[in-house]
This record gives sequence, C-alpha cells and structure tokens, in this order.
Amino acid sequence: MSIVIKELTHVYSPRTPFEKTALDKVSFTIEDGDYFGIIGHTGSGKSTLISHLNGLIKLTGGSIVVNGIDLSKKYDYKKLRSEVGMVFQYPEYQLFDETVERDVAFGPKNMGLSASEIADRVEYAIKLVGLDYDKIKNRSPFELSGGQMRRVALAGVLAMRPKILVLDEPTAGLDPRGKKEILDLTLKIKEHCPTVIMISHNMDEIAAYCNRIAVLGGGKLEGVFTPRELFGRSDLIERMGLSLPTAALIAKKLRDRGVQISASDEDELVSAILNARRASHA
Amino acid sequence: MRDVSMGQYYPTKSIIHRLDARIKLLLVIAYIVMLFFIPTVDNYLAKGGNLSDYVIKASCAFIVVMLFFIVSILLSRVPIGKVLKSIKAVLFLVIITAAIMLFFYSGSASHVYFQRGIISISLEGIISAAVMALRLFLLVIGPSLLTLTTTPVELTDGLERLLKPLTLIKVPVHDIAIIMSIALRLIPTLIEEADKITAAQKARLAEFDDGNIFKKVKAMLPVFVPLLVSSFRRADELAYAMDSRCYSGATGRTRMKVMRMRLRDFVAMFVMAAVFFAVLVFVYDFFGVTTLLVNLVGIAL
Repeated sequence: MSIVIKELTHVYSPRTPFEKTALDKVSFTIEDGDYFGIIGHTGSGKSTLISHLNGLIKLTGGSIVVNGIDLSKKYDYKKLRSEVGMVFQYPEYQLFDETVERDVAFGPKNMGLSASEIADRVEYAIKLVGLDYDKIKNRSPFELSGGQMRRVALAGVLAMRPKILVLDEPTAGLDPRGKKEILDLTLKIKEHCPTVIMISHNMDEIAAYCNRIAVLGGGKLEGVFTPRELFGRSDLIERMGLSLPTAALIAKKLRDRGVQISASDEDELVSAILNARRASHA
Repeated sequence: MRDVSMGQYYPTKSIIHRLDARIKLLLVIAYIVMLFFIPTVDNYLAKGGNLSDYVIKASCAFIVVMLFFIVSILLSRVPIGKVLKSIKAVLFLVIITAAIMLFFYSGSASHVYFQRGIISISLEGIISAAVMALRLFLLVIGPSLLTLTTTPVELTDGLERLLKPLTLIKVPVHDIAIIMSIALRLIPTLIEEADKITAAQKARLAEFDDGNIFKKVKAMLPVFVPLLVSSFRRADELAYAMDSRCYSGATGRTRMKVMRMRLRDFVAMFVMAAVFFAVLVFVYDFFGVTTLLVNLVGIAL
C-alpha cells in the first residue's frame, strides 16, 4: 500500500490566455508509514498536487495509484475519499452544522454507516483530537475558540477513519503554542492513521516532524529528501526561496565563523554546541 | 472561476481596449440609438414609401453598421468566436421573433407567396423578419464588444464619471460605484471561498447533484452556511480596513487613475459620428444619395 505518482501534469484553463501549468511531470512515491512533507512556495503546485490524491481534481496527465486504486481508470471515488482524509487550510471555515457532534458526523453519515457506528466514530474522533467529548458535543461549532474549531474540523475528517491523512498547512494562523499542539497531535493521530502527508512552507515544522520531504518549485519536483539530506542542500533551499530550519541556520552561521558543528533540530544543536565548547576548553 | 470575475473580458491590449471607458460607454449608447434610426418595413411603408426603395436604404445602412462593427472587432483583436458567443444567449429570441415576423406578417403585403388561415408568407414579411433578426443581432453583439474589451472595474469607474452630474440631485453616485466595485472585487474571492468549502465537503463525501430540487438545496447547506459566515467576517474586516485608512466617502477624494481623453478617444468619437451620419444619409436620402443608388440599380437591372 502506497501512493505512486508518475509524470503527474496539470494545466489550469488550457488553451486560453489564462493557461497555467501548475504541475509539470511530477513523479514520486509515498510509502506506508511515511510522515511525508511537501514544501514549496505559494504557487509551487502543492495544493494542486494534494487535490489529486482524493480525486478532487480530475487526473488529466500522468498516473496516480493510491493504495491500489488507479486514478487514471474508473474508480470508486467514495472509497478513495474515505481512504484519503483531506484537511485543507483553515479547516475551521468549513464547519456548518448546529452542533459539534453533527458536524463531525457529516463524513461518516455520507459514507452510509450505521447510526451506532457513526456515534462510535464521532466520539473516537473528538477524543482523538484532544477535546472533551461530553462537554463539547452539543455546543455550536461557531461559539468555540479558533484552536477548538480547528480540532473539531480535524475530527470531522478523522471520523471517516482514513488510512492516509493529508494536511494542508495545518498550523496556518495559529500562535506558536497552538502550532506545536496541532503538530504534536498529528503524531498521536499517526498511531491510528499510518500515513500522514503535510504541506508546509515552514522548514522548522517539516524538519521536526517529517521523515521524507518533497520539494516543489514552479510546478516541478526538485527532489525527495530526508531532512538531513535537504539541509545539506543550502543551494536548493536558497534557490527555492525557502529558509533553513532555525537550528540548522544557527549551526550554519556558527560554521561560517569557524565552529565545526552540524545539527538539524534543537536537541542536536544544543548538544553540538556543548560538545564544541567542551572540545575548545579541553 | 475566472469567467465570472472578469466578466467576459478578453485581454489583448488593443486600441479598443485602451479607449477611455466613458467614451466606450457613450459610443455603445450612440451605436444602439443608430440602430433604431433604421426604420422597420411597416413604418416605412406606412409613410408612403415603396418597398424597393426601402430595401436599398436599409441594406446600405446595415452594410455601413456591419462594416463599422467588423472593423471594430478586427481592431480589438478579440477572436470572432468569442464575440459571436454572446449571441448564443439570445439566439432563441432572435429566431422566434424572426419566425413570427415571417409567418404572421399582417401589414399591407404586395407579394403573398402562401396563405392559410392567419399564416401568410409575403415578401414584406420575409424582409421584415430579416431586418428584425439583423437588428437584434447587432443590438446584442455591440454591447458585448464593450464587455469583452473593458474590465468590470473600468466600467464601474467610467459609469461613475458619466453619472457624476446626478450628484447635483443628491444621487449618491460615488457610494453606488464603490458598492459595485466592492461587489465585483469580492465575486472572485467568494467563488474561490465557495470552491474551497465545496472541495472540503466533497472530501467528506458530500453529494451535490443527487435527488430533487429540495434535496439539492439541502445538500448545499454545508457550503452556504460557512460561506455566509465568512462573508460577514469579510465585510467586517473590510469595513475596519477602510475605516482605519480614513475612508469617508466621496468628499475630498482624488483618483489614482485619472481618466484622460486621448487622441484615440477623439478619433473614436469622430469615426462613430461619421458612421452615424452615413446611416442617416442613407436612411433619410440626404443629398439624394439613395435616389442616385436606386436609379443606378434600376439601370443595372
């Protein structure tokens, strides 16, 4: 089970003056159990790419196979969309129902599940996102705080029990603490939903949470890297208009000043600096 | 999505596109008035004219208008298909009108080819139908050239400037214009928003085209409710943003893009006036031009 993307190409408004190639022959594979990052600037084709994964954008060039479902042939889109949970940017803006419980039940209901199964899943999902089920289930989603709303929206997708979860900038518009909470939550979710794909343009997030990272620029794939490989490619990061994660950036600045250390996250940086100090004192 | 936000606007940077929006609006009005100066068959015959004179006058006038229109399209560099597309919406109307004219012509008819009950096909009816179809066609397609070559924002700006005299009788022209511009500005935003919400609900397996009309409306709720909520949010934010930039309506406000008449605008007006005059010359037989033509045709035959 995996996502295999081959030569994926998508052109918006073809054969008009507004024609724009959003994706140009993008090929890569996402394995089961990956926490897969997709990074790139605005307009790099990230959103177009993930909208293909659950058939929201019709495949027009190339091929995609998601968990054995070949999107270039006729397929059961209900099955596909239950397998691939999609959480868009600012998902709290899609809340609509009178109570949290009913809103979260929307997906499972559309799947045609039994009432008891729906109730089970709603409770499971609300608890999974760290909310108090009994307290929140009968409240209106519109009277919650921003952070709570985002969790409810997330629960609405998780209640469908997807095997692959796609998150488009899940931390957009949150304060640093809210960001960390949501990202840590994704790790908890990953225990239930083995494959997580996250779009971001924040290198710190991608570095800390993803095991593999695809870099997109202007609709083209620049490569798939592990975090460590990627941070060694400062030429690419600069060309893409991205910045190194803070820890790697500090390490690089220290290296430029003659301190021989390397680090890709905060813990590594701290121990590397301590080691370097010890070495220079010795 | 783009279709609605830009109207029919087709960008080519041609001279027609660069004309002042006010002038284009005025020219379209003149164009429409001009079309109505070409009389109908009934009208002409009722005033004691004869049919062959009418045919020559009307065809000359129509040829002038069509030439003018074709040259305008060529200058605008908008593909002819795009221009013709606008006729599609009213094609049905044109056909029905022409058919009624053709089969139920009730005026005095000199040549009747077919008669049964109230249905009669006559030479006058045929000419009537042709003139009516041609006139409707030109009537619809002219303004569409305006919307094809002018952005909605330019149009509202132009309209605001043209309607400015109405402020004298306390019509809030500026406010109306700003409401229109904001509405136009927000259409693409709302459509984008609606697309996003629709995508999100589709990802949760929402179905939008199942069942009867009531079911469909109910199915749209998961899109409408968030859309409504976000429009209110947007309206609030926009009001704050305008307030904090000291927006206070029309008083003391200057424009970033000052509309200025250029040589091309005067040339355009001159051309329009010339075409209008030519139509009048043919229709009203100024200087005996049409009489001369009638005689020439007579000799040729």
